[in-house]
Formats: sequence, structure tokens, C-alpha cells
Amino acid sequence: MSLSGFEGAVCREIEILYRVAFRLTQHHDDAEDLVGQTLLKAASAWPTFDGRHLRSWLIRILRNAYSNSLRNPGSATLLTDLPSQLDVHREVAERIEHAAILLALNQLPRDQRLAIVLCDIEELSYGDAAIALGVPLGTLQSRLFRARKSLRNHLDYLPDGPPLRLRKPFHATS
Amino acid sequence: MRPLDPESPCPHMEGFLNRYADGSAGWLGRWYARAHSVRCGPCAAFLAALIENRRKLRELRDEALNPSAISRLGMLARQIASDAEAFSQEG
Repeated sequence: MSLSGFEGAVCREIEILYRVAFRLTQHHDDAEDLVGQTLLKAASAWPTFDGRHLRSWLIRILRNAYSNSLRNPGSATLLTDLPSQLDVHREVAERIEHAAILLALNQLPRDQRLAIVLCDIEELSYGDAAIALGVPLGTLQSRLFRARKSLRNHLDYLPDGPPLRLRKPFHATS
Repeated sequence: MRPLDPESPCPHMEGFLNRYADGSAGWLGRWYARAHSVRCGPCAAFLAALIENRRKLRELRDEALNPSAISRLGMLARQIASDAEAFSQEG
């Protein structure tokens, strides 16, 4: 089997694959496993790849590998549990904001979460994201728009401040 | 046409506002979304939230990276390519 051009092409996409995998699995080890599986599957399918939309093609392989791992939990070591608690330091406002949006993102259905990850975090075009998810453009758009609306509801957006405010710790006055 | 929920955007504007927020709208769509939002509070608030949430989501991008994992995966890709090369030469 010839893998001419495989290494150069695929290596440029590893970071985005990893980020998408991490958003799906919520776990660094699982994300690495998932991208590893994706690379192996991509290598075996490389001779039939038509050379168009590489990123979407790879993300589609990754998504299928993830779906298979959910259907056959014994066949892979992916952990799918969401973190039960985020260890967030109250004094770091940026971390709080990120934690809030991550929690909101993780509460979305998987298809909607992927639409957000591809279009809003990775900034793929609607067309490329639709190819990656294997859905028509209209379906991608409706998933994305629904997801954005849900995110907004989850975050209970406050125009004048961060979406989540933690109360100050109580200090007894002397 | 106003929605039943006074905090929701006008239903016919959701697509325009979403495309405006992510930069995929054409000039006419951009103009229409902006012109409508100037006189419609719920749509203006919805658009502001879309833009702000999108900015926050983009900030998450680099948090998901693990440099050592990326490096190992790069080595894996090289290994796969070189194994295939060796295999094809043997064959």
C-alpha cells in the first residue's frame, strides 16, 4: 500500500483532530486514543481518498470512530463520563467563564456540540462542516443555530458581565 | 412578526443573525440583520449574545491542546507512513 503524501498532509491536521476529539471525549488520554485510531483508519483508506476536503474527511473518520466506540464500549477504552466537578479557582474570572461555557457545551446533544465545535471553535465553513458530519448543509445550519440558542439559554447571558458569577466567600466581620 | 417569548429573537431573523454573527452572511444579509437589530431589542440582544459566546468559544480552542500528545501522534503518523513504505518495498 502506498501512502504517498499521507504523513505531510495528515500531520498538519493533527492539532485540529485532537481538539475535536478532546471536545467529544472530555479526556486527554481518550482524545489521543481516538486520534490514533483515526490516523490508522485514514491510512488504510488513503488509497481511495479523492484528495478533496482532507480536514472534513479526517473529522468524519474521527466522528465515526467515536460513534463506534460509544456503540461498542468494550472495543475501546474511551471514557465518556463528563467531569463530575470542575476544579475552578474562584478568583480567576477567565477560568470561570471558560468552565461555564464548557459545561454548557457539554450539555448539548452530541450532534449539536459537534456543529459548534466545528463551526464556532474550529471555524470551518458550513460546507466543510456539513461534509465532515455527513449531513446536508441545511441540516448542519439548523443544528448549529439550535445549538447556539441552547448555549445562550444555558449560559443565561448577562450583557453587562460574565455569564456566571460566583458569590464572594463569606467572611465573618469582627 | 414577534415571537411569543419576548426574549427570543424574531423567528424569521434567526438565520440572518446567526450568519451575521459568524461572518458567513453576504452584504445584503449583514445590512438586513443590522438594520433589523437597531429597532428590535430581542434580536439585538440575541445577536450580542451570539457574538459574545462565539468569542468565548474561540478562546477555548487552545485549552484543548496537549503538546506531548500532539508530538506522539505526529510520530505515529510518521511511523504509519514509513511502515507502509517498507511494506510496499517488500511486496
